[in-house]
Amino acid sequence: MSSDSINSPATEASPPWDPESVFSHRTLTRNQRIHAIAITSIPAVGTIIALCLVPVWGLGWLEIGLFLGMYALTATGMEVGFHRLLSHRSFRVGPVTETVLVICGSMFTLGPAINWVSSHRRHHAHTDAHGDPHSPHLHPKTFTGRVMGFIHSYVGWIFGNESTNSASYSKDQLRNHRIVRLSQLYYYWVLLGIALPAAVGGMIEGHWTGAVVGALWGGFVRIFVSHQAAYSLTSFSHLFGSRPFKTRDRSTNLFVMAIPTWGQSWHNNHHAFPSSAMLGLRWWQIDPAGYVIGVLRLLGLAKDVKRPSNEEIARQIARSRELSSARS
Amino acid sequence: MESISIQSSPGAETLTAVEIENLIVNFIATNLEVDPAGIETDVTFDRLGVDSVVAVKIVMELETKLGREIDPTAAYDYPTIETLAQYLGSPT
Repeated sequence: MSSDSINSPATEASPPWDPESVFSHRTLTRNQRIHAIAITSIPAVGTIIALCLVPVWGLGWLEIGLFLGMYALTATGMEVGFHRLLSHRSFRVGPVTETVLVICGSMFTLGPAINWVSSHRRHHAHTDAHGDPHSPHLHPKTFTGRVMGFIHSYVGWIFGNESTNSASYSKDQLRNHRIVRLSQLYYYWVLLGIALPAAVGGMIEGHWTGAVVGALWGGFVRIFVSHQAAYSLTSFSHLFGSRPFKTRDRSTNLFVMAIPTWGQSWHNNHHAFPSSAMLGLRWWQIDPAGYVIGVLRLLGLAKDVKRPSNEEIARQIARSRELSSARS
Repeated sequence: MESISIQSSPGAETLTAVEIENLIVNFIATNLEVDPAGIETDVTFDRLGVDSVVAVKIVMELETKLGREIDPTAAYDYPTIETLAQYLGSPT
């Protein structure tokens, strides 16, 4: 693929801590906690109801199809839209494509676009160090500390009282009125993520039970399962797996999570080359979001798709090997 | 519209609506790195790049400057720089 080359900032020192970048305010804390409780409990209850209905209604192609279809759509919105486009600007698209991606990413139900981008950029600025919103490595190195660190990185951090200042991390997105509006309409997109599969299920079945199946499997079960994949990125992807690039953080590559995370579990590759649109850097590194960007590019919808050159990748690997042998 | 409680604290500074307008304009210009001359005071906050988080930061800044507590919903009930400043400013 002929693409823009990028430099690897993998080994740059982390930026100085800006006290304005994170703050607490009672109103935001309360809203964040209500959101965290809702997005963890409601899809879980929906999943239990869906599973209880399996012996009654069975588990057929409608359930599986709506689940997979909505999973692919919202994972694309999250990984292609929120992550690689808005957070890292690793390629460019027109306003219509961007809007569709942001709506699909909002249906993923992990917060409005600007909040997600701000928190993710903060993660990159301070990965596995003071200021990282969700590192598993910032608790004491005792057994209890490690367990608490894991819980914090998996899901606990979303219940925290801190707010990431979007004016510190997302000035570019705040200056884009369309993105600000799309973020403000977040809860409508979340509802759309449940109403859409319900409508499709109802139409296919021609009966209200189809709409219930759609809302359950394309909505609640899909949100519940996709969230576990997202939580694995903030926890497993900084704990287990290979580290071909000796980045200054503890990010890892985890093959087993590549498909559920839509390619983001090539997390060590990502921290080595954060502005790369492709997280799978070898042919066998399955990267669904990268393939979607490839298709968008072929359709003429994505431009300036960034990817490190093979020479740059080889240079970073050689450098990592030197660092490893120097340490051993 | 619901009334918003404002508790004055001793030594609270009183500023006119125009002074508060300038405060908000400067806050947005500094934090979003935009030209203050381009900030219109009669358009809604979202058009100026103020999302829910930045709105709370503005309220926190005004609380410090005015020395009194301001309900964070003020930025929703008075969604432009002009109306918020008029609501919070002392009569001139």
